[in-house]
Amino acid sequence: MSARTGHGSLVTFTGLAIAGAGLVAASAYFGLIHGLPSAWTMVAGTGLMAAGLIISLGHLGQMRRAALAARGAGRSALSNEALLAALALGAAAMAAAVGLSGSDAPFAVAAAGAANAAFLVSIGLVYRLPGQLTWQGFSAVTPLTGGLAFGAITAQAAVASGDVYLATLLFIGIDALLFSQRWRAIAGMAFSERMLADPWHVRRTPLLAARFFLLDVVPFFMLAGVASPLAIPVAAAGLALDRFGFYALALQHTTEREIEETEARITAAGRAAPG
Amino acid sequence: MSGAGFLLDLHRCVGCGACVLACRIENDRAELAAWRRVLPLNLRRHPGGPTYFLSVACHHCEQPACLKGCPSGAYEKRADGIVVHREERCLGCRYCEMTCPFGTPRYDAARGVISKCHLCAPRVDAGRLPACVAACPTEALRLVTASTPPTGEATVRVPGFTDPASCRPSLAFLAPAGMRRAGLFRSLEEGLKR
Repeated sequence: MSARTGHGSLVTFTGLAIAGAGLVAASAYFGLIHGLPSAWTMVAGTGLMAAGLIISLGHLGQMRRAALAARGAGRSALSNEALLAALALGAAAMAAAVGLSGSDAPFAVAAAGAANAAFLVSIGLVYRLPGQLTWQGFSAVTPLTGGLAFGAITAQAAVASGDVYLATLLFIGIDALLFSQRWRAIAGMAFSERMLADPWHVRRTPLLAARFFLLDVVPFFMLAGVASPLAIPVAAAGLALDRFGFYALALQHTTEREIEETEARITAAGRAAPG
Repeated sequence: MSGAGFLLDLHRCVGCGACVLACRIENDRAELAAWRRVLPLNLRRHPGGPTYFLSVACHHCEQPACLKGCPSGAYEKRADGIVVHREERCLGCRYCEMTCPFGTPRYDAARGVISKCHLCAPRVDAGRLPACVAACPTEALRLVTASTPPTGEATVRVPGFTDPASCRPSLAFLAPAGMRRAGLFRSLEEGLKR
């Protein structure tokens, strides 16, 4: 299936884009509400996003036709995401440039934060597909909550002022709550033969648990007392695992898969039949 | 079904694969992934379940998920209902592989584009049958158009074929004939509902 075939590039570019957009959105929040310096975190977020978007071009079979991705605006979730990515990157670059110049431009910062939050929402909507069995429910919001959690952890820890804002812990808490719902939904799925033959589906619990602890639980306790820069690599590893698990645990409905499951039921019914 | 599509008589299909071969030859896909495939259900003949073959390709859905999701507008639904894919507009993003719940679009890595069954549109436009339909030795696979809709006996619900994304595929089936087989068919459907 496509989500599994060559999903390394999907993991890389969505991971970088989510990390970058989350960092820009969280930096905008802390800059506007708490007055934390946001110029350098904006620069870092813009760089991560730009790297992710450049890598995403390499994922295309026809890179030269990338501009055609805007043709489905309003109809295709992927087109909406592509357009919002360009908008979010432009807004973030402008806010970073204004911040580096030493000017105070709250409007540019707010616009960058809003555009990047919208971009995170659009990423989730791309994967809200009825035929994808493990991407249902709260899976669609995890790019937003995971990105904001990573951004808040990074923006907070990078300042290392000693103060930890409640908002950071709140972002992490919301992500933990919603991701746990995704975890619960996947853990509740019965194993089919094909899932049992897949090493990642067999290891789904440790994979999801590792993501949960690295992106949410460990940074939460690292930041609960005092802002520690060590929380950044831990959260980054958690976000990377989040993206890896998202694609590695993809489970697409196909006619072949349904026939396999039907055959398994026939076999089971035959075994259970008396005589 | 309101447009062009397929009707598969499950009682007649013997799983010979002539449709797959004809499709490969007609569309020059000897070395590439086949657009049509024949999927056997219950080939080992477990008691309590029907045995049949599903010859499937693109279902030319009434609400195609591939068309809705495609960012570059490479998919089009013609007035006669055939869903065609314009390779010259394809980005090779493979999103349609994720959106289609039937596993229909095929990615050609060498060319970096998706391709899929176009119901032999050039043949249909010339008044001929699609290659797969023309090659079927038992006449199990038939072309359905707006002017020749499937009969009242046709069903779109068989075990092994559902529509999770509400695409409304233009594919109908004729169930196996005979009271005993029909009974098995019903019992399995009821069992699957539980």
